[in-house]
Amino acid sequence: MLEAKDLVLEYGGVRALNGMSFTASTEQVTAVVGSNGAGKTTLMNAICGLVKLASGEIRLDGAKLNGLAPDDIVRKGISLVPEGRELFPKLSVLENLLLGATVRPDPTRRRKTLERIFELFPVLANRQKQQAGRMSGGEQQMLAFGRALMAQPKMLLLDEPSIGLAPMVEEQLISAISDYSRESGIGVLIVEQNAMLALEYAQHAYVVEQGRVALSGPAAEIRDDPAVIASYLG
Amino acid sequence: MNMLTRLLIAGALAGALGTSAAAEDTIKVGVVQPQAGECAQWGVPITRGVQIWAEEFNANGGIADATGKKHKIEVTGYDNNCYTAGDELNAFRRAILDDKVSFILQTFTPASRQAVAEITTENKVLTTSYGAGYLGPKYPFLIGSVTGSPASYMFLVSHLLESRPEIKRVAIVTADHSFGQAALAYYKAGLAPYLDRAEIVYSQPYDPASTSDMLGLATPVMASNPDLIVELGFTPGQQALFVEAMEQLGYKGLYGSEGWTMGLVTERVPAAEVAGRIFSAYVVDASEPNFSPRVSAFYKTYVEKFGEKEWSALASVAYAAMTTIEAGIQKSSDPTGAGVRDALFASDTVDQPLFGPSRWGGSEIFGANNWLMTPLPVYVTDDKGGVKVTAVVDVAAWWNAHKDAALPALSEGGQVSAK
Amino acid sequence: MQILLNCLSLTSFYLCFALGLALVFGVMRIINFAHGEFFMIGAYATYLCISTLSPQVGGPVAWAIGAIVAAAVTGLLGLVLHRTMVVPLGDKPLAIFISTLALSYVIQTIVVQIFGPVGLSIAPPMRGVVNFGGAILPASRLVVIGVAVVLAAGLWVFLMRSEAGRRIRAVAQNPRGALLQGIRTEKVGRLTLILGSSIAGICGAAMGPISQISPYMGAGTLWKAFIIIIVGGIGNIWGAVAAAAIFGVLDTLMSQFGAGRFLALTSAAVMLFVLSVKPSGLFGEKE
Ligand SMILES: Nc1ncnc2c1ncn2[C@@H]1O[C@H](COP(=O)(O)OP(=O)(O)O)[C@@H](O)[C@H]1O
Ligand SMILES: [Mg+2]
Repeated sequence: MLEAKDLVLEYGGVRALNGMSFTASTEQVTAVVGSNGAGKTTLMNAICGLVKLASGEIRLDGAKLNGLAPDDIVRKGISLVPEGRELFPKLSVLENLLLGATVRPDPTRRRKTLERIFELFPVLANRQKQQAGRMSGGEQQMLAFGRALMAQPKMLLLDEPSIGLAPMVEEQLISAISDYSRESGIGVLIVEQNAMLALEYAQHAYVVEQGRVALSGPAAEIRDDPAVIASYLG
Repeated sequence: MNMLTRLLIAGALAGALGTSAAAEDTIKVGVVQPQAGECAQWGVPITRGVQIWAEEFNANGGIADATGKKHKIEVTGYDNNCYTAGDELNAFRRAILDDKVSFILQTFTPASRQAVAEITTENKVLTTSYGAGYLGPKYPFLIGSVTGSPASYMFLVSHLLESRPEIKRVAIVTADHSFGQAALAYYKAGLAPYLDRAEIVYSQPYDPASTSDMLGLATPVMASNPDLIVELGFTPGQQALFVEAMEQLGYKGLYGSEGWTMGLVTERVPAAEVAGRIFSAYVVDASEPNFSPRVSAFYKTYVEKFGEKEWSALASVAYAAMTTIEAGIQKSSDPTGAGVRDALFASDTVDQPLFGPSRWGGSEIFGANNWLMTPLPVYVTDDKGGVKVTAVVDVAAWWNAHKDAALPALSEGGQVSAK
Repeated sequence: MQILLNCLSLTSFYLCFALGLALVFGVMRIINFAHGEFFMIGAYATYLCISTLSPQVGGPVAWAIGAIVAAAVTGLLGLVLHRTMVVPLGDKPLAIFISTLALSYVIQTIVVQIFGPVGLSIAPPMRGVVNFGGAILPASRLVVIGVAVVLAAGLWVFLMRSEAGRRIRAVAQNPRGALLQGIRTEKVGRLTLILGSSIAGICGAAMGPISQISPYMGAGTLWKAFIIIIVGGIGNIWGAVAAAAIFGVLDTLMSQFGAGRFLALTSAAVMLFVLSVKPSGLFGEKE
């Protein structure tokens, strides 16, 4: 269980997170939706330790995460696929994947994870030697997923994974990830502007606005509530 | 007034009176040379040379002027930050305006001398150097006390050509900076009278930065196939590396330069291999025991004080330059800059304490006879890495005989300022 | 033939000097102005080892010990630099630049205090000359070539084949991305700085015997290394190798054909030309 309580974060006096609280299961897909500038990326970065909270608490299965260095948070089982992917463009596909496993040195488990990722995204298996920067946007996004999974996380964080992708590819990727989550029993926290897509695959959802949670509930309900769509997601 | 204040005032008064009383008969000498940084490798031995010169007199109560009155000599070093003209002038300001020195030893570098020509002349501070640079009729207080850089290069190379008719091909290896350009002109001037029987096969200046690749620098010199290489611009260590590279390339001829640090050379090349092949013509090299007992005593003092590793012939060069001032002080009843100048120029020869009678000269080059043409000892290496005097060039005689050939070369090299 | 060997020898020197600088700059985007002083310290460490040890163990062994000591001392200096300047000043590259500049003066001054401002010379540990079809290569230059080749090849293998090397490359390309993989970027920075500094020290050990050593020897060479890494493409280590070769050949040919005095000028001109044609350097990425 990933829990966040009363998160407050400011950028030079401007509050990006303003008392945000939520819980996300480590066995399900949870969606966080909200308009541009609502604080979704900031939330992801705060969980990963990339930005510092003014107050509030983040816990994973009861253990405190906030205050830890980003690399320790990865070790604890949080992996982020950031907005813009942040791949290593001149390194090969395989090298990118292996770097994802920095915090998991055990070679046999690494091998197994790698094989599963290659099953999930066969393109990556075929292009192991290719430079990451030379692949198409969809392939790069697969690589970013794969690299995050190499860290064998308990909770996978996806920040706008669909950005810049064709709708077909988008759909395909998210469904692959939600399958993987179900099979391997890991949680997914997905942040999307394309709310409909996220809500379709998520079990639970939060609608955020101005740095706090405006509404939460089962994803299906939120998706079908015309009032929600009109006031928050339009 | 409490006890402490009174004590302070008394102390201050005593101090003030004491120094002014001492100042009455103290002769103040400034040495404007690099005191820190890379160039201090030249400036520090030069300053020490002047200090030892002063201490020799001070140990006996000071130097006696013409009236028999003894003056202590006080020597102060002023930093000129590697001979840059602006820093030279600042150092002179401090020495002349703040510290009221009467005599200054400085570099011969023309740009540096030019920078201070006015201030020394206005304040009548007799400013000498271990060579002749930027002398002229407008600046009677700028003098050259001995035959040194860059004129000595001319006499060295001409001596070698004259004493060794087998030399047919000469390579001139100089750095592309103002020292090096002056050296190139003076080397060419020294060779000019002999161009009917010898030729200059190499004379390309090099960028001082390229000395980090000595083999690259030596290869084209070797390709010109010389029997004599004259050099100027290397540091002592670079000279050793150059000789090493030339020997590795198979060179068998002679080397000439202002001076060599033989200890560094023999670390790389066996002394026996280069014995009799390396020539130098510093004003005087005190490490050689036979030229003058006085300078060899100076050498012993220096080595005792600072160790043999710290020795540089430049110390003896500075020492020699000061002995001309010394002759002027001893002949003058008024040992100020002006008084000493008058005494030195009272006749057209000076009985120089180290070199004997020497004539004032230089008017054809500088337009004024402000350079004392002391005879120039030429040194050659022996098989133990030491040096011995091989000849003493009568500088004035050579100049009289060959100035018509030499002057055009100096002029072409931009070294002639006489109208 | 002699010219060819001279080119090779000069290229090796440029390479070994620029390599560590390019590594540190490429990975950390830090200009270490004290790099030249690390090189100088390496030369002095070798001087001490050779002058004290060579009577007992002989020149070559004394030199090898000197090179190890040089690497150790400069590696330690790299560590100190990382601790005291790079970490506290974090993301202020200009402040780091200024403090390494200050460090370079401090090191120079300390060396002047200990050894004096006058240059020293290291008795050549390896004498003798190797002949190649009429051309000669002094043994001590063979050492420089060997050291440069071993350093460059070793660095290549380390960066391309080891896990630590992979992490270094990852940080070089995308520090934020690296952080998200759980890479301890600070540790990677430390390793890089130690490595780059040690390379400078070893290079000093190799160059010491064939050049005069002085407290200012590093500062005098640094500008050339800057030009090399700029021409090669900032941050691209293999670009630095290519640029070292370009200048090794160019400078040798210029000395050979009597244009030695224009070296500084042409180096600057080549740099400006490359920058005007390809602003990111020959092998550089657009940033
Ligand atoms: N580095 C930053 N400095 C200042 N303000 C920022 C920064 N990053 C984000 N913000 C501001 O914080 C708010 C939330 O941004 P963000 O978390 O990126 O929103 P979202 O990802 O939901 O679009 C916005 O008002 C944004 O302008
Ligand atoms: Mg965002």
